[in-house]
Amino acid sequence: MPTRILATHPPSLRSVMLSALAALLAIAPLASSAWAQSGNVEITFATFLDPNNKNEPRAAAQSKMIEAFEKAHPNIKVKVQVDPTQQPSMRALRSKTSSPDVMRFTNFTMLEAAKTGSLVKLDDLIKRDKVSETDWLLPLSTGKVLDGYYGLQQDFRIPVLLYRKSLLQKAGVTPPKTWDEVCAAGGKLNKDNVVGYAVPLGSGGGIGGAQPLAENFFSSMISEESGTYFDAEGKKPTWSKQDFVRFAQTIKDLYGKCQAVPQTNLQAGYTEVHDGLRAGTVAMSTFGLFRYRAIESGGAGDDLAWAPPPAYKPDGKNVVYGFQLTINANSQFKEQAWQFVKFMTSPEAQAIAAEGGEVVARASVYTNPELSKGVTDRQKAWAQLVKDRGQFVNYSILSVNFHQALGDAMQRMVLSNSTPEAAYDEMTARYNEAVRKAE
Amino acid sequence: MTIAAQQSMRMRLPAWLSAAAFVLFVAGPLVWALSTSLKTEVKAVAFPPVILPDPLTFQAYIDVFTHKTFAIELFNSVLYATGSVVVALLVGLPAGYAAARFHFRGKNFLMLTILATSMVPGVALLVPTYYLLDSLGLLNNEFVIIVISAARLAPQTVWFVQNFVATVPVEIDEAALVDGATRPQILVRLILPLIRPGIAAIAVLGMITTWNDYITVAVFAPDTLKRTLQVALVNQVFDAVGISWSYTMAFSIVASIPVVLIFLFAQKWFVAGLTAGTVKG
Repeated sequence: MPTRILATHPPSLRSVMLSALAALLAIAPLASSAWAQSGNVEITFATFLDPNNKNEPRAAAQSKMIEAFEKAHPNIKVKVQVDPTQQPSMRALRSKTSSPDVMRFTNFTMLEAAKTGSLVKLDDLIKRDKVSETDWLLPLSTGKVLDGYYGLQQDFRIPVLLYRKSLLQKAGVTPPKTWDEVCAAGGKLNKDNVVGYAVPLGSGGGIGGAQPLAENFFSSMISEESGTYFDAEGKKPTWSKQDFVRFAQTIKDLYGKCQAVPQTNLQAGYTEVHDGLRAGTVAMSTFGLFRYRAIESGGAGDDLAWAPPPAYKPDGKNVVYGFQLTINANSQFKEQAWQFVKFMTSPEAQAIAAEGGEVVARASVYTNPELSKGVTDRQKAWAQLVKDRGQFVNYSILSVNFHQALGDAMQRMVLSNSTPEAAYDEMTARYNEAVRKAE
Repeated sequence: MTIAAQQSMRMRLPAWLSAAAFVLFVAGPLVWALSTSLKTEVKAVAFPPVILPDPLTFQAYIDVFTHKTFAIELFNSVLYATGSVVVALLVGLPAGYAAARFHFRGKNFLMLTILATSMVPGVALLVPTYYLLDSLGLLNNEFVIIVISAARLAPQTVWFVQNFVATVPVEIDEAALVDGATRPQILVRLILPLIRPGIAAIAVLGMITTWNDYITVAVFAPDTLKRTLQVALVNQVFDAVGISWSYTMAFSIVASIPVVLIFLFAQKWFVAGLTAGTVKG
């Protein structure tokens, strides 16, 4: 009987397709549960390094590290989510989503990230798996925020003086060590469409406000002697009015009395200083060491050089920061994410990262002969600079608002020739207003 | 040349000069972008700047087309733009027809509400929409992106279609009704062919809007495989090694080509559609 029915009433294409769809829907959960039941897991790693960017050696090193991790942990696959601004990751933390599982945050956004309550506290895991607290360029404890460890340090950055050798030779100046020397040297270099010493007060290329000013200048200049920047809560600045006035006067003098920088730099940010150093229209600036290779290959070539950053005293302290790897507290794969974080910050993986040009956080990468094969003399010198002159500070949890207020106040001070005290009042009022609104 | 012709030329000269100045003003940045895209990376930032690339190189374009994710980003851009227009039209056409032909209580209020929803800035809805999608597990979902983009286009689509349908004499509908046609049949077989230029105008505007949209995809589909050309372009600006200007300019030009082609192809209908409602009777 069934055969006759089938013969006289063959299934229509529509019914065949519906049946196939139903079968697929039935199988799909089984398939995914089979994958999960076999212990295979895919974790999402949010990072600003795009694996598809063939111009970026750090991205290539990152891919190598991930490959090595997956080889050592066959049940864990890593999916990279490109997040250049950290904003999608911050959004994920605030909305308590389960993805990404692992995120990179700069030290100056770590407090903000930890305060969302969506980061795993790593203290117990560090103890459990005996992660070294000493094999780091700066002790691991310096990277704590709030009440403990919320991330493991991957790399360090310290502002350095980047300069064009030929321009300094032509002007007969040597790399300055103090702000007074910057004033003198900058004035001699600032001519013929060349910016003597770039002081970016704008926001180009950053994630909001005068980030290059704060990151490469203000944070170091204001904390050089006190060693502090913001309180542990990240709300109140810990500098005095006197320290701020000294900083503001230095900036004002560079634009004014020293004639080290033209007013066209008022709107310059990362992008403009980077391109100026590439093109030779900026003679020198305090800038991020992580930009060195890009500037060198992007036009400066062998003419680019670096020196320790200027400070109020020749060996004055400079702020150090970098990236930490964190784990999403809402992740479904916290243990796997921890294995990944632990691996990526291990000396073996960091030796791979060093091949990409990073100043990696692990001290043994620079001293162990096996691990230091991919480390250049320049990276070793930077690592030494981090150890000798670097200091960690606390940052504001409203860093974008703070950078905006700082940049606007400095620009207004230079443009209207007002006093550093007035700049302090303006910046303080605006920042306090932002804190009040956030509360 | 006769005196009248000379006088005519003198009178038109200021207009020509103004038009030429305006064209230079508008075209200048485009010419500079094209010039930069044909320079080497070093020459792109050289000072003093020169307009003519020397050496001239197409390396930036080669890099754009051979980039690993370019094809995916292009596909996603086409998918979201086309999909959102199709969905917006599927919703807007019947709604606009109903608004033009039917009279019911509260119609004006309803139409104004529809229009008012399009005045809410998209940025204001980002956070609640994000929470909603995340709780439903719908982030990084291309169909959701299409629906969100279509929802943004739908209010104006309804209003435009209403206006276009209003230019078609209602007697056509009445005659068809007398012949036994249903409303859907009238819409599809009689009205749509008559308002084709209007639909083309709506489609072109909708495609351009969705093609150029950055924030929707960047926020709701951050996955690399779901991003569009616009998101990829903005990521160039935040590149960790600084901006590669020749690559960025080449990328911008390549990303603009489909929209320009669509507009060139549909401009006849586009202009007709925009002016269709101006003459009544």
